[in-house]
Formats: sequence, C-alpha cells, structure tokens
Amino acid sequence: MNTMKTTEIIFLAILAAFAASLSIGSIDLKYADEFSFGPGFIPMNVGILLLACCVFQALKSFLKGRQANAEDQDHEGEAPNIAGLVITTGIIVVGIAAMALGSVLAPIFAMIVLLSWRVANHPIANSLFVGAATTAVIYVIFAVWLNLPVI
Amino acid sequence: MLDSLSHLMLAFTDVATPENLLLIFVAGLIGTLVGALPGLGPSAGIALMMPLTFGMNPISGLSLLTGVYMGTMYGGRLTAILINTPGDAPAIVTAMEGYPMMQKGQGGQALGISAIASFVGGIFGLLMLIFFAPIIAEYAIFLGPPEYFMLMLLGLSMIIVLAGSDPLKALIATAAGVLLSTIGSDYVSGNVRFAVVPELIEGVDFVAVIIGLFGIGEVLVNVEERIRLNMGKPKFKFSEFIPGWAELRHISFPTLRGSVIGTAIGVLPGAGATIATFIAYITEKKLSRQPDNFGKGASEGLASPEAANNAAVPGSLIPLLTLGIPGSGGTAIMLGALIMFGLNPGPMLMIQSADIVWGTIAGLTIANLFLLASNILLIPVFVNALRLIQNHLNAIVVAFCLVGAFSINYGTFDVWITAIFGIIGYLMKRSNYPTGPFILALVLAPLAENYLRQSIMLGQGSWGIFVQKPLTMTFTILVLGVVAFGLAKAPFTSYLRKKRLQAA
Repeated sequence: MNTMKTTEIIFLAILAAFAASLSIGSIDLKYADEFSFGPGFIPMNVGILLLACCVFQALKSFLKGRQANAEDQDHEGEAPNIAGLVITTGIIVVGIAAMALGSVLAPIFAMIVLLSWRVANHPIANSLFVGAATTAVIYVIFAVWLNLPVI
Repeated sequence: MLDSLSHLMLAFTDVATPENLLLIFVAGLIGTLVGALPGLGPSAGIALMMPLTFGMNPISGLSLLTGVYMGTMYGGRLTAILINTPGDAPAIVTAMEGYPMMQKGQGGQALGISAIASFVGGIFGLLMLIFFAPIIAEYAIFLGPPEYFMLMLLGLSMIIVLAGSDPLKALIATAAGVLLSTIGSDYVSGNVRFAVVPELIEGVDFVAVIIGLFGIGEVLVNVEERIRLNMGKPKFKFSEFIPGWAELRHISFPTLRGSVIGTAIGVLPGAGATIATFIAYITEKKLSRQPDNFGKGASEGLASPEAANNAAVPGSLIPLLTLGIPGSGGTAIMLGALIMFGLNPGPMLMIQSADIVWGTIAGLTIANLFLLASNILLIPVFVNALRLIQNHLNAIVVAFCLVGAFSINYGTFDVWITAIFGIIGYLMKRSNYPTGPFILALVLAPLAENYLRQSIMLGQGSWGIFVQKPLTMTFTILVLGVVAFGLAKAPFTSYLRKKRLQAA
C-alpha cells in the first residue's frame, strides 16, 4: 500500500510539472483568431485540465489513504523487490549511456548478462549463454534479415 | 458482397508467398507465447513486434502485427487453463472454467475446446469485417470534419467511462496523452510547439513511447512483484485435444453466441475483448439448464468467452479500417502502424489502399488457420518454450525493447524516450492508471485537433457547427450522454453499494 501511494505521488507530481510547464509554454503561442483557434489552444486548456485533475486526484487519494490505512495494516504480502527494481533501472540507464560509445549489441549483451545474473539470480555461465544467444538472435533479425544498422 | 470476395481472393494471391506465410506462422507463435505470459498482453505483443516491421512492405508488416494480435488472444488461455494464471485480462473468464476442467483431468480437452471456439470466433469476426467494413466505408466518405471530431471524442469519452472503476484516473491518462501529442510541429499554423531539442521537432516518437510503456514498464513491475510462472510438466495425449462429436454439438451454440457478442462488443470503442468475455460468460450462465455447473468446469462457459475474445479482434478492426478510429490500446497501436507505413487512416483507406487493407485481412484469416493448427498440435512446444523463457523473460524483453527503440532513428534519443516511458509505465501500473486511454489519446489527439480546427473554420468561428446537421447533433448528444453517464456512474454505484450494505 505504501509503495503504491509513493508511486502515485511521484506519478502525479511528474504529470503536474509536465502540465504546468506546457501550459506556461503555450502562453507564447497564439490562442485563437477570428475564425479558429491557434496552436496554443489545446496545450493551454488540456494543461490546465490535467493540472486540476492531478490536484483533485492527489486530494482524493490522500483522504482515501487515511481511511484505508488502519484497515490495510494487517495485510502483509511478499515484500516487493525494491533492490531488484533499482538495479534493473540502473543497468538499463548505464546500458543506454554506453550505447553512445558506438556499439549497440555490446551494451545489450552486458545488460542481458547482468539482468539475468544479478536480478534473476541465475548462475553466471547460464547468464552468459542466454546473453550470447539473445544477442545473436537480435543480430540475425535486425542486422542480417532486416538489414538495419544494428551492430 | 461479391466485390469484397473478389478483393479478398486477389489479396490471398498477394499474401500467400512462402516468405509471408512463414512470417504469419511465426507471428502467431510469438503472439501465443506473449499472450500466455502474465503481464504481457496484446498491446505489449504488438509494441514489441513494431520495430521488426521497419524494413518490411506494408502488407507483410501489418500481417505480422495482426498475426501477433490474434496470437495473443489464443495464448492467454494456455496459462489460464494449465496453471490458473490468465495471460491477459480476457483470459480471466477462461480460467474460471478451464482450470477446474484441468483439475478434473480434462485439461487437454479444455485446451482443444478453447482452441476450436477461438477459431470459430475469429472466423466469424473476420466474416463480419469482410462483409460490413466496405459497407461502412461507403457511407463514411460522406462524413465531414465535425462528424469525425465528434466520433473521436465519442471514442475517447467511452474509453474514459469504461476504463476500470475510476474514470478520473482514465481522464488523467487521456489528458496526459493529448498533452504529449502537442509536442512538435503544428502542421496547420506551422509553429513548432515545445521542441526543446531538435529531435522533438517531429514530436515524441509513438513507437518509442509504446515500447517503453508496455515493454520496459512491464519488466519493472515483474521484477518488483517477483512474477514467475510455475509451469510444471503437464502431459497430454494428442487425442485429448480433439473433442468428440457430442462435446462439439454441446458447445456449438454457445460458441456462436460468443462470436456474435464478441464482434458486437469489439466494434464499440472502449469496450473490447475483456468486457465481451464477461458478457458472453454471464449470457451462457443465464441460458444454461445447469447453471450450478458453472465454476466447476462447464465447457459451454469456456467456449463462449473464448469465441467472444477472438471475435473481438476483427470486430475492433471494423471502425479502425473504415473510419480510422481505434477503440482500444491495441488498435490504437495498429493505427500508429498504419500511419507509420505512410497510409492515410479514414474512410478513404479502403479505396486508396484497398490492396493493403485486403492483404491485411487475408493475412489475418491465414493467421487464424495457422493458430488453430498450432494451438492443437503444438501445445507441448508452447509449454516447453514458456518454461524456457520464463526464467530469462525480463532480460530478453529489455534487450528487444532497447534495440527496437534504437532502430527507429538509429540513435540513442529514442532509446532514452523508451526508458523514460518505461518508468512512466511502471508508475502507471503500480498506481492503477489505465495505459489504453493514454495511447489512444496520443494517437488520436493530433487527428482530432485538426478535425476540430477544420470544423471551427467551416463554422466561421462558431461552435454551433456541432449541432447544425442532424448527424452531427446525434454524435454530440451521444458524447454528452456518455460524459453524463461517466459523471453519474461513480456516485450511483456508491449509493447502490451503501443501500446493499444497509439492507445486509
């Protein structure tokens, strides 16, 4: 329950910031003329609507959360794998950054091995085999069959 | 009608090349596996396959995507029957009757019945698509920008109202999709909106967004929730997959009813396969002479929803191919694919690109035949493949997603977009925000904005254009009706719940 509340707060905060920035940005765009509306009309109105909905939803969830807090304290399931989540996100971010060095398949291979070995806890030999096999399949599909510059 | 058949026959000759047949067969297999994996549904399947279509001609590419779409509908039932874990939402009902059959030692029969019902449902939906789509398209060319805008608004408002129990969350997802679609060039005024980097001048790439949302997002949820399949080693004899004549007669009418329900619900925007399966199941329970058998392995309760599930796929393609209006996340991705192939979705699609549309329909028909055969003959292969994939699924999905995102423009910008929307997708799923309305809004909003502007220009600045003609007024009233229903639904449901609690 706690994780869900935190994720919703983060999600609504991101959306609210996005809505606010686009609404402010749309001030510089033309809102309407004599016969129709301009490029600023949709972002301005939808931005304000989204911002208002985010605030309303946050209040609704906050009030609901206070009511449900006591009831949910007894419901303990399997603990979420937060460490796995953070490691997975980290591997993906570092892997994408490494793609800027020139190769796509080398970071992909490393990501598969690390995700399989460190997150799914398979033996390293197993992970190396899966990494090599998957990278080879990707190379055959994208570079050989579809002729796309994936190397 | 004869015209449709001649178009279809011609399309079969175009599609039935060895390369295309192999592609459709493999698409069906991949779709079945993706559909069987919990968490990965039709949208994820189509999204993951989208990058593979970049180098293909439109008929092959669209056949691949529709083959995967249909395959996911077959696949959802596998894990639902075998281990009581529905692969996707429409398979929830399948588990209600399929798993008890499995427990009674009739698992092979349940898989056979569901495959045959799925096939009949798919073929029925395709027949409706083949015969009704040209008729609708013929009338659709008389619709103008105000009618189109209202139809799109109707689709969006229906999906908000029907998406889960919380319309506010669906509205937030929709508004976020609309807002995201405004980034990039505005082709009416020539302005560039919010493009903070040059890569955004053409807008945020739709393929990168869906790959992140449905691929990376699912992986992050799977990692956090430690989702693992425990497939076991079920053993079946081949003869168990083929039901006898008595059983086939017993399920024949439920299968037909399910097919009709699935096609009709599939056409409606926002409703989709999940609602169709529940309605089909409830209908069979009401019509059954032995309703007490439901929940204990009633074959008619398995056949009808399975037929509805697969009939909903061609049903949902009817408004997409004739009006250019998708009714679900899956068909919204298909709309994105049509645009990606340079086609012009709308009433002219069946006239201007008839060969491609009929080719896709022919591909879908062939996929349905292949899927029936593979879902009866290759069950052991699917079970072993699922057992092999399940342990390394997350790593493999991440790899395909990131390479797919790289293939969009051969740069890391779209890969970063995929990663960002992977995190957004994770947050949406963890907080129970529907992703369907977001994708639908992202695809539809630019088209809707253009139609709205054209409508206002036609009305010389007056919004009265939306109530001037009887047809436009009908659509406007429908939209207002759906919005009013959406606003009244939550308070009315809570009032009924309170009443029931007080009575208890």
